[in-house]
Formats: sequence, C-alpha cells, structure tokens
Amino acid sequence: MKNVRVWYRKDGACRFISHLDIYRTFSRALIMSGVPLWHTEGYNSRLYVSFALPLSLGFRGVYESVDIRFLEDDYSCEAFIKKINECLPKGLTVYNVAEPIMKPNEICYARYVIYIKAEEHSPEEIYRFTYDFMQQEKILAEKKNKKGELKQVNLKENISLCELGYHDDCMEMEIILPAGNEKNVNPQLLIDILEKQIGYELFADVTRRELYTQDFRLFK
Amino acid sequence: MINKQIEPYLLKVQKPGRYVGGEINSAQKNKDEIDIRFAFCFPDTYEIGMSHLGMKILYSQFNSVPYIWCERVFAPWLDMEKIMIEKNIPLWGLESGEPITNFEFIGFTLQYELSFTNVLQMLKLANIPLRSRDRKGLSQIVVAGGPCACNPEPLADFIDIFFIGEGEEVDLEVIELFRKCRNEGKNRDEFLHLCSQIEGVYVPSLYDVTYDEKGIIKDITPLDNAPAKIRKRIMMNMDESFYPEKFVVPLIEIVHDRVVQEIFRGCIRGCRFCQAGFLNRPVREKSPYTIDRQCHTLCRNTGYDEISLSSLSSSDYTKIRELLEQLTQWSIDEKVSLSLPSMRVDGFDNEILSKLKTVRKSGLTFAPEAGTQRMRDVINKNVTEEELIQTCTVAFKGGWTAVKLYFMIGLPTETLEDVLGIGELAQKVVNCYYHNENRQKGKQVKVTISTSSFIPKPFTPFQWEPQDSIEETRRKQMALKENITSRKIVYNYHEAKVSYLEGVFARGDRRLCKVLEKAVERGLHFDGWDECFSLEKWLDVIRDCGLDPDFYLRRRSFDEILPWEHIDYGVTKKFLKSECEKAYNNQTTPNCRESCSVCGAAKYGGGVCYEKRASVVS
Repeated sequence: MKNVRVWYRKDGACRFISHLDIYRTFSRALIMSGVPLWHTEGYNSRLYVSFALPLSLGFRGVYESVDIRFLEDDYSCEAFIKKINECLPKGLTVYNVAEPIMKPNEICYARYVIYIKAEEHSPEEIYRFTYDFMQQEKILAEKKNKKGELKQVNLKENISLCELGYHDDCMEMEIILPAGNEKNVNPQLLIDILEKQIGYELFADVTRRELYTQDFRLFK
Repeated sequence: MINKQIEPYLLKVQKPGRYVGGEINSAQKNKDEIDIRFAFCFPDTYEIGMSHLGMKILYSQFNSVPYIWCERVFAPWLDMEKIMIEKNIPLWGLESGEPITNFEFIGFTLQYELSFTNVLQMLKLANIPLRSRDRKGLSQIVVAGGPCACNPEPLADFIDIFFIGEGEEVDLEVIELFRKCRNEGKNRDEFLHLCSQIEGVYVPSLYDVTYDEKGIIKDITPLDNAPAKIRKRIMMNMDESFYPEKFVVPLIEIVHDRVVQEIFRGCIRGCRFCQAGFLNRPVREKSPYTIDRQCHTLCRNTGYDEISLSSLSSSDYTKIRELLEQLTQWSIDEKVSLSLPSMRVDGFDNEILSKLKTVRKSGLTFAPEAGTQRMRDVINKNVTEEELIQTCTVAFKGGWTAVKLYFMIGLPTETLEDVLGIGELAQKVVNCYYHNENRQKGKQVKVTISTSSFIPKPFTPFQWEPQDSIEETRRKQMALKENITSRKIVYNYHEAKVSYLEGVFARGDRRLCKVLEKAVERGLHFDGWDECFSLEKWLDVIRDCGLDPDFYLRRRSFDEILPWEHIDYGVTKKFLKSECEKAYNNQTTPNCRESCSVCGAAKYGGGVCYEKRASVVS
C-alpha cells in the first residue's frame, strides 16, 4: 500500500461545481480508471479520497491536491496520470503524483490571484478605488463561525500580502489570506465588501495559486 | 464548451454547473464535418432532464451517426433565464455552447403535461417562432416525442412533427428524409408532407379538426393524403435495439445519478389507470446476457457504482434470478450495488432481497394503489392484502424498518370507505412489524403513505372517466388524514390544484394551444414547480381564451370522438371499453402471461403475445 498526493488543476466547466461535486467526479474517475485503490473499511466501504483543502464553487485552482492510496507499492505514477486524465472531465487535470510530505492540517495560508472588472467601468477606475479601499484601517465583514453565529471580522488584519496591478481588461489583485481548518478567509468576502463600497456590480475571476504552512513554506 | 456570452454571469446564478457542459462522455464534434445539428431539448432543469433514460438513448444514437451532432439543452432556471433575457443571450446547446436558433432540428421530449409551457418558453429563449406556420425554410424543424405525445393536440400548433411510440428508428428516418429533401431543393411543406407518410410520424398541420357547439370534436380530417390513423413505432427486438455504451456523467448531482438499465419495455399487468402499461404494449424483454453486458460496459465507462434495473414492474422479468446471478458475479467484487425499483408486492422474496442487499441497503417502496380489495379489483391491480402483509413480513425479517406505500385517490367508483381503507392498510403494516419476533430491537417502524390524485389518461380504460374536482380531492385527503392516528404512519399527498391542471392538458384538444401561448406570454412556466405554479393565473388564462377548464375533466361518452382518436397505439378502443365496463363490475382481467385478453398488441408480432404460456405447455 502506498499513500500518494495527486496534484491537479481545476478550471473550465469544473470551475463551476461545488467541492462535493468535485469529490464525486474524482471518485468516479478513479473507479473508471481501474487503478487498484484502497477502500475505507467498515459498514459503508467506499473509495478513500482525502482532499487537502476544499475550493469554492467558481474558483480556479492550479495547486489542488487529493490523497489516495495505491494498493500496489510500486504502481507507476506516470501510468496513473495518463489513466486518470482519460477518465476526468476536461476541467480537471492531474499533472503530478508525489509522496505526501506535509499534513493537510498544516495548511495556514493561500495565495490567490483575482481578476476584477465591471461593465462600463475601466480597470483604472476600479484600481484607484481598490487602492484606497485597501488603505482603510478596518475592512469589516460578517462571517459565520463554526457554531453558525454571525461574527464581525476585520479582514484587513488577515491580509498577509496584497498587490494590485492590471491584467488584460481587468484589475489584478494578488492576495494571501488565512486558509485551512483552523482559520479560513474566503477572498469572496473581500470582493463582496469591495463591491458594496464601489457601488456597482463586479465580475471577479479567482484562482488559488498556492498553499502555505504557518511559516510560509509551500505545502507539499 | 462554455457559452462565451454567458460565462461572466455564471457566478451570479444558482448551480452554474447546469449551464456549462464539459462532462465526461459528452459528444464533441467538428462542426465542419456535420450535416445536421440537432438540439435535444428537455423542458425541465438539468438535474431532471439528465436523469431521463430516453434522452440518454437517443442522444447516444444520434451522435453515433457521423453527420449528426446532437446537443443537450435544458430549461434554464428562473435566475438564469432573467439574465438571458436582459442580456439578450439566446438559448444554447451544452456541447458547442452555440445558440440553437438555426439548428436543423429542435427536438423535445414530453414527459409531463405541466412541462408544455417550458417547451414554448425554450423556443422563445432560442429566438425560434412559436407557431409552426411562422417557421420557414428547411431548418428549425421542431419535433417532439415521449409519452405525452400520445395526446399531442394541446401542442399541435407549435410542433412540426410528433413521433408516436418509440423513437429509435423513426427519428433517423426523418433526419435521412430531411437530408434528401434538402439536397433535392424541396421546401418545408413538401418535406413535412413526405414525413407524414412515414409510419409513426404525425404532422399535426395536415389534419383539420372541427368542433360542435359544445366544443366536442365533430371530425378529424386528414389533408393532403396524410394517413387517417397514425400508428406507433415500436422496437420488437430489445437485444438488438440501440443501447448506449456510455452515459454523459454529470458534473453536478442529478436526481437519478447512476447507471440505468432497461430490462424490458411494457407491462403484463394492465392496471386500468396506467397509461405507460397500455402505450408500451406488448412486453418485450432483454435477455440477461444483454443486460449483464450492457451494465458492465456502462459501469466501466462512467465510474458509477450503482445500477438501477428499470422497467414498469421489475419482478415480472421472467429471468430475474438468472439475471441477478449473472450481475452479482462481478458487481460484488467491483463494489457496485444493484437496485430494483418498481417491485410488485407479490414479486418479492428472500432470494431477490439477499441479492439486492449484497452491497447497500436502499428503501423499500410498494404501490398497492388502493386501500380496499374492491378498489384494487376495479383498477385491476391484482394484489391482495395478504400478499402485501406477507411481503412486509419478509422485508421486516430482512432488517428493513421503513416502508413506503403509494396510493391513488379519486379512482372511478371510489367511496369514502375505499379512501379510509388506505390508512387502515397502513396500520396493518405497522401491526405486522410488531408481530415480527425478529425485528430489530429498539427500532421503530415507519410507514410512509403517499397519495396522488387519479388523472384519467388517454389510451387507458379510464380515458372516458371524469376527474375529481379540487374540492372533492381535498375532502378525501382530509378525511384520510384525520383517520390516521398512529404516529408511525406519515401521510403525504399531492397538491390537488396541480393534478387539476394536469388533467386539463392530459385530455385536452387543439383549442388549448392558444391557452398555452397566452400562459407563456403572461410568464407562466415551470408549472411542475411549487414556486412557479399558480392555478389562479391559469384559470384566468383559460377563461380569457373563452374555454371552460371543467369541460376537459368531464365524463366523456363512449361514442365521443376523442382528441387523440387518430393516433393508434395498438390497443383497440373496443378492448379499452370492455376493460372499463369490467371495472364497473369489480371484475379483474388476468395478466398477459396468464392468458391473452386480445387487446390488439399481438399485431406487432412479438413479445409476450408469442411467449409460450405455462398453461398452454402443460
């Protein structure tokens, strides 16, 4: 038996499905691939798949991973990549299979690149507004805690890095936010508040680029 | 491919996965090599349409032809529809992401009367003229098939061609003819006229319907040599009939998210309310070998780990044990679970139960349909109370603690006693659980009963019967509800207003076309959905069109010309009438395997009509 971490990209049509649907799609592809894989034990035995960190519906991801277990220790990773990609829809592409180095619960931060635009408003205009927006002392958002209660959070103090620029006809924002089981700040929260303050509808295209541990080492 | 115009708005709607395509096994083709673009439209949401087996079969079959590119189209939900209208984005096909406006064929499957408005709404969203007479040239041919095409009249003004019966052959014949006509430079009318000569094709514009002063049909006259009777098409050899090797595997969860495998078509039983049972006669089985092979291929090509063996009455499959034996040879190892929906109360035993239980335990559902023996005899549901109790005993011994029972109310000759009998029967099932020594300790039994309202449907022995009014239905529902005292029984019932409208369209005529058009104009559609349905608005529309909805629910006389008089599903009117008369006398009819009742379906030359019966052999 061998634990492996499967690295994949989420894009295209698959960008628009939920984490639960990603889970189902991946499971079916793994079954279809015919690769001998470990199933959980117990009354309802099912294929073992464990995702490092769910990605919201609508976000693209280029550094996504899921852990599975080969039944055969020496199963070829190249063969696996070829087989699984034939069984996955176009929007999900496996590009690497590697030994898991860190535990998913070590993940503390994620880096996102966000392209933002609006109908009838230039990227420069959005840039100027966003620049001032980010200078505010507090950016307050309402967020549900684990008990389901609404709590106010100051997003500003959660932002580790934020850079603004341009990309095609969009404003580009690169941002690092807390991510993981302990504390997670969805960039959508920030976009929603920005949209509220700017006063017109924004179209945001979010890509999760990388995941980091507490001390900013790349999650591997 | 994602439609480029809609892409920016996808995150503004619920479940954007409905609109993006990109699923595994969806058909991608090179446009330049394609002669015919076919938009296969399902007039409901993605999750419902994607669960439909007929669409999977025809989609795969069309795409197996190199020159046809068949794409799937579903009704966009209200939030998406609003954006499409605001931004002027026409309805697109999921495979190419391109507007379907100028496709050669726009096909609809008609599963449910309350989806008729969605047919019109989808045409509208695609910028296609609603009425057949407003569409010109050899493109935008709007076709429709499916069970509700058996009474196509409420849609007669909008659809160019209806397919009567099973579509596997006739669809392709029509497409072939279309190509030929286009090559020969024929016009739309010439093409439609030639089509009407193909068996199983109904071109409504070639028939003239006249009415008397009461609104009853005086005459249905074929024009231009169109056939006086349109005969259904049917696949007689199920083993050789096309079946897909792969299903499009949806990215989002759909209603029936599993492999669906047909085991036979038709039903031997002849329950007198059941339209499917009469439309699909005679019974034609697939061999266990074919089923086994097709199931295995589908599992391999989809990654599904669940198979549902589909038919109108699974336990009537003659080789059920042999089939389960074959399937479990690989399904257990491959961790694939099997389910057999539509089990009859009298077709259930320990052996079948244990095979189904091999992987996962699902719920148990039975449909006694009526609460008293007299009522069950009237509808020819040849199931006894003893059989139901016996079956539940087997199930409870097997560890089940929940049973669902389906019933109908409003059946012909029904009395209050019959209605209350439903609750009493449920109570007997509850008692049966507590008489069982082996029941799981500490577990409660739950018996869920659901009643739907009886709607008389064309081509059944009850096609002449009146339908209960909304008040009458509610009165019966309340009486039953009050009569149930046990907390172990849960009672659900179907909204009477919805059944009322369904009844109007089920036996409607051509005059309803203008009602549908006006209803859609006033924003009515998705009528099968609670959040959209408004009977009050519908009644206004119907009255504004000068019609009386109750006209369509009344009792019809045996000699009246029915709106579907010119359509022929093989079962004779004489037989239906004799069945109706037997119902009045509480008389049952044996099933097709016990003895032939000469319904007329033997003319197709195969299926159960030509099986050797046990009684004949000995």
